Amino acid sequence: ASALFSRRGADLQSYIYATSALADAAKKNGQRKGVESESEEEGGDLFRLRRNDESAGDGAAPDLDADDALDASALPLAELDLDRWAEDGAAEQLRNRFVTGDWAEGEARD
Amino acid sequence: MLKFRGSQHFRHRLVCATLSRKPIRIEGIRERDQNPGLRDYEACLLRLIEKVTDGCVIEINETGTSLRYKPGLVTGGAVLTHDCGKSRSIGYFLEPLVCLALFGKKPLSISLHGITNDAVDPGVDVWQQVTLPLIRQLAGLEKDGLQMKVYKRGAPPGGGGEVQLTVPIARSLPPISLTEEGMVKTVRGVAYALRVAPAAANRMVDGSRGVLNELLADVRVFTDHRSGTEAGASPGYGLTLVAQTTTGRLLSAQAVAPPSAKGQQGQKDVGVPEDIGRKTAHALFEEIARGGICDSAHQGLVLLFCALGPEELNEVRLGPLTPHAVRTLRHVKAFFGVTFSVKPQAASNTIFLSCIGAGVKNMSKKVS
Repeated sequence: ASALFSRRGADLQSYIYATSALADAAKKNGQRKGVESESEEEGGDLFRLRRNDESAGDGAAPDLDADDALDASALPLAELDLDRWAEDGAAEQLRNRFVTGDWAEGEARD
Repeated sequence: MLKFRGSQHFRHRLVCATLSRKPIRIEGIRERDQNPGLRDYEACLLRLIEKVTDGCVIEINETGTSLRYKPGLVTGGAVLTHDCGKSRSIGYFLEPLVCLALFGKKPLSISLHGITNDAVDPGVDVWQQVTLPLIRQLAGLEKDGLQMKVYKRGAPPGGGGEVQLTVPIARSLPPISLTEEGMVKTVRGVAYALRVAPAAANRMVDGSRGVLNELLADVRVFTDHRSGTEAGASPGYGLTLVAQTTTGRLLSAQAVAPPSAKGQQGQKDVGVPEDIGRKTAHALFEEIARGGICDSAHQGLVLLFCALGPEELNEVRLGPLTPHAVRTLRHVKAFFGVTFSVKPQAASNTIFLSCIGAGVKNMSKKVS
């Protein structure tokens, strides 16, 4: 899942509030990831090794809706696409966001 | 009793529970993990909350996968100390601590020990230059009330940093209306180097200047080289950059050299200081490109203050929402019943969020 979603438009609000933070509501909706059905265990071994990479490990991308997602307010730098700013002329896209740029263009955003 | 699952958004759950005075139960904390239950830093945060509140009840089951928390009253107080451990940096603890202490009975003065700068949480430089001014504005505080001093720095894994935090009390929050981004007029920053050559700080500054000066001449980065006891227990260096806009908004970006396993020898693998400088500058560009009145690391905090604010219209403008901000929105709805109205603006790729606040007041502060 992409960590940065602004381009969703009108359905952003329903996306945010479709999932409840509360456990009871999530169970009712049955949407919450990580709450899997336990029925597969029938007939198998009593203990199964849980695959390591299912949880948010080092290699796997952190899952936004995972119950045990890391509690950090900042985005990890690795999730941001920083390489695009290293290209020649990439900084010019931001010219009008700085006072050195076109003020009329910059103020048009406000 | 509100019930939650998992360890996600642990700090906000405790803060919201305390401020809304609702007991909570969290179940299934990392129950499928190889190392199940609460982590040591989460237990450490619970101990910190016990220190600054009065009458709270915390029950944890044997495996640590289930927690019951009945909030008490926030007392605050002076001459407190807390060891934040070596798993998460002090920034992890500051956010819930400041939010709670504002609604305390007495002003808080606490000395925190641990890691001051790491790659996961906002470092002390971000806190001093961006977060504290932001909270001062959101909570309508005087300049001298909310302060933090960094006596010692500490890099991971050894830590050894020390900061002194003072938080005044607020009666209630003023209405918030922050929608004008403005244009970036200055960039300031701090480059720190602990137990490494002082040149590392200067080289990071050079690296960031090479990128930033293309757009802006007014770039000033201070260097903070420390040695001896002031430098903590581990070598490390990193850079924090802060862009200030014409409307006074502050956007921050930070990058930290990863801790080297074998001291000086491992450093060649993790990139030279110039790379850290360039990386930070690129991260700052990314934050500016995302737009909004704060950077991605502060979205959750701004939204929380909007939800706690008065029963009037509180409005902010943010860039693309982070997972942390989305979880904050869901949790303030669960605790305070505050639902935000979300209006994306396609032209600028920013989002206007507005809500009627919950009107949380500080019950213990006397009317003067």
